[in-house]
Amino acid sequence: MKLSTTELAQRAFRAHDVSGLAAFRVLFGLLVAASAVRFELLGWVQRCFVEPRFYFHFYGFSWVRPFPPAVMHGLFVLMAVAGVCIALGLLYRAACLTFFVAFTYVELCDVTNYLNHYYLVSLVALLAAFLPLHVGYSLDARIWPSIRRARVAAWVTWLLRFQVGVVYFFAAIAKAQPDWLLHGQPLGIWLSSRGDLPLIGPLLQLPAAPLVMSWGGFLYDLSIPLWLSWRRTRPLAYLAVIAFHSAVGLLFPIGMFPFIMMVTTTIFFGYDWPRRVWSSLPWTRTERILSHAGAAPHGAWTRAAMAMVALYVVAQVCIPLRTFAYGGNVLWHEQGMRWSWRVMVREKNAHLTFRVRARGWSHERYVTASSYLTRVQEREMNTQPDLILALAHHVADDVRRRGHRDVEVRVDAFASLNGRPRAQLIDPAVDLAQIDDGLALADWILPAPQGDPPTLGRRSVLARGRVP
Amino acid sequence: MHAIGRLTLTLLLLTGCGFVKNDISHRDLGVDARAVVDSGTPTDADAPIDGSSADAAVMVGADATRAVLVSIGERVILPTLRDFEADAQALVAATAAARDSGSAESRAAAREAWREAMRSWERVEMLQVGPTGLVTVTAGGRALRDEIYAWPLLNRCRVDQETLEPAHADPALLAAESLNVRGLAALEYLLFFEAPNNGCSASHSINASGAWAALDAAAITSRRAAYAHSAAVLVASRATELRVAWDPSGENFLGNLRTAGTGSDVYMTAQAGLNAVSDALFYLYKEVTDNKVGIPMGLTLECTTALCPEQVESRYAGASLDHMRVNLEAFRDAYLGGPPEVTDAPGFDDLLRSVGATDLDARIQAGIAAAFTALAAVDTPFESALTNDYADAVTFHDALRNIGGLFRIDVLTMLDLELPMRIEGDND
Repeated sequence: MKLSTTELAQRAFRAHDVSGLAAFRVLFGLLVAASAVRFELLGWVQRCFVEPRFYFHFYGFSWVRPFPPAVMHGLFVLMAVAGVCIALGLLYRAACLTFFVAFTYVELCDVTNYLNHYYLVSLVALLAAFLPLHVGYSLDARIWPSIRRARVAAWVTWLLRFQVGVVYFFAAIAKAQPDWLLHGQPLGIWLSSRGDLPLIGPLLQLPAAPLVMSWGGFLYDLSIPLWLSWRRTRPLAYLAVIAFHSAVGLLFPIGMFPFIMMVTTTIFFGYDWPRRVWSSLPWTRTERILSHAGAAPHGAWTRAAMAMVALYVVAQVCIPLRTFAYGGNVLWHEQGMRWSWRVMVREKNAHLTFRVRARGWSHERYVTASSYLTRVQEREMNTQPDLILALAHHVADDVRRRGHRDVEVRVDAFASLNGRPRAQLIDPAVDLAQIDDGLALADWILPAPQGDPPTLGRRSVLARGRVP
Repeated sequence: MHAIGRLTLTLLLLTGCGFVKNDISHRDLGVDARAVVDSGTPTDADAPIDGSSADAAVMVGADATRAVLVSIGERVILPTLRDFEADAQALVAATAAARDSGSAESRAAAREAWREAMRSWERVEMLQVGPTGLVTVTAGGRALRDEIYAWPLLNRCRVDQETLEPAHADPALLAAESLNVRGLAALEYLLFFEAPNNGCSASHSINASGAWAALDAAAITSRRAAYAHSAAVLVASRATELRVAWDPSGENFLGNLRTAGTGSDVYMTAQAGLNAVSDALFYLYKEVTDNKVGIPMGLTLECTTALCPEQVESRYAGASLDHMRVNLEAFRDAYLGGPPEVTDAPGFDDLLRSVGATDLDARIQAGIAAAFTALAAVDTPFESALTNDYADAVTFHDALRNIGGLFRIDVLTMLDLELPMRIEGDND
């Protein structure tokens, strides 16, 4: 059915029951509160923002520094409180902005803490701060009745659906490459070590399992927003969401990611789904609010808001696509990797040693990252060339602080991508201390190794060994 | 939607019914397997590995991993701990004789007993799995390593200071002192450093008070001998504790390797057990390559001068290269699943070949052989080689780096292992 622009606009501003948005707000608020508490209880505030001696800054955000320990802990308490306020719809916009600023600031402190689902949380929090998710079923609406509304324009829900849909769509795009679809890597590597899982362990060891699951993941990411969008397929699609993310959460250490997706995909439910669920219960009687009665008001302010929304939508499409401007294998050179929703698509191990030379030294000295970084930081840095460059600069600064001059820093950096034999990641002849980080294509990163990733056989040994 | 659901269900049913065949290949195992055992139904899981070829059952998946763990535990770790316990007891006897007689022969015998104990201990250094390791970083760890050998934490001045204290002659009192004044590292200093001077500054209390100067050379030698015996008694006690912790007749930590993923309280999965052993083998990369070789050679920033001979391990005994040879042997044995003369031990090499990484296994074994060759070329003692044979030391360092690089990139990838001291965190 073809829609004209006018019809689309009319539909976008058609008012719908606010209960669905309210439920999204409640779930999101509880989720982020729980996430903040979890972070604190697991000791990660200490580990990520107090213990490190060096922090990797995002490009353009070198001014972001962790606060003193007490303040960092306090930020997480603040985030938890803000999350609860979001859920309750209490001082909602302030709570959203507070959470967004605190959470995003924390994430900007160190690149090695970057996770795609943290990025999603920041984006949703930013959107939520400007969207009217508190006009119904909230304490704000009770305290300030003037803001109370029973219906909200459809575009609010559409925007949130777009945001979640973008994650799945680009996750599918990230999987549309030979390693994943033709060779079943990196799943082949990951599944090979999970034979102990109850019930499914033996299934995961089957030779076809990596490819079947690779295609399953790809098709899931590509299609699930569509299935969720159609009313007839929605219930089963959401069961698939729960099943898929539960399975992935069981197999891999991805923390809150499954819960974040299970919560955010509820935005695809009907506008009034909480009311319908509630009214279907035998002991309730609820007055049904017409889901789309009348149009939401819109004037100059709304036109400005729509322009901002349009810009946001364009940005959310363009940012993940920037990786294609660099060419090559983004999983190798990592330029454009972050904020592109490349979720769990690579197994990359690396090892590097900095080679340092200074005036008057008779020989090079080797410096390992563990001298400066925590284990988590080192693990992340090893595989990301821009972080290797940042640490090279830090090493150079450290050597200069010790009184040495004409410091040169080169690196022997080797990496393995999706099971391929290791290959050199950085040009070992380049003095990284003379290289400035930037957005341009980095010629000091060596090309990705050619050749297909291996297909792993199943682990096997003779119980009593070979016959001598 | 319905078609997708049917397709998914069909695929599940087909795989469950074995339509997609299991293509275990024995081409790299060298024998015709008489039976194929699917995971979950291992044969002879509790029988001791005696090298018999009568039953050539194949273990697959997690069972294969457990077979490797059992082999390493029974063929490498436990025999090493038993050897060390015996050598530690011999060290107690030898240091007692040296304390009691004071003769040059008894002192020489005590030194030799220390060398023997260190030869077996340096194997344990490479095998810090379970109780040997630190509580905070090793599953099942009890920090027994530092109680036995706290190098490089030796503080010569503190040991000399302790020589003047009553604790030096009383193991019970010595046990309450800090790690850097007891253990095998302190023993090396006490047994091999013969000069009557101490390692403290002139302003230190033992010198400023005249307490040290009040002792003649014979008294200092006598006190050091008594101190050495006290330290040896403590080492032997810990050696027994460590062996009992592992021994099936004792606390049976070995059983955790056998039941990794099938009931172990320490290793929830076989992979976790394999990771624990892999973590231990990183000793070659971090401790041997960087600390034992790199720092003395002035190859790291920790050495602020051209060379740092004072950082050589066991420099008083001149035993550093011997220690590293033993470290390398232990690494090799753990990698192979047993000593090389036991050709049927399942090890990392077998796992790698079974998943198709035959070339990688070959490169690792070649790398180990090259490291042994390079080590043999370095002049003894290592402290002298730093100035007289630097080029060969560089070759040895490069050989170690090569093995470390292969292990921490390619082996970790092919066997889906993690870096040591990995801290659980979210990923995506």
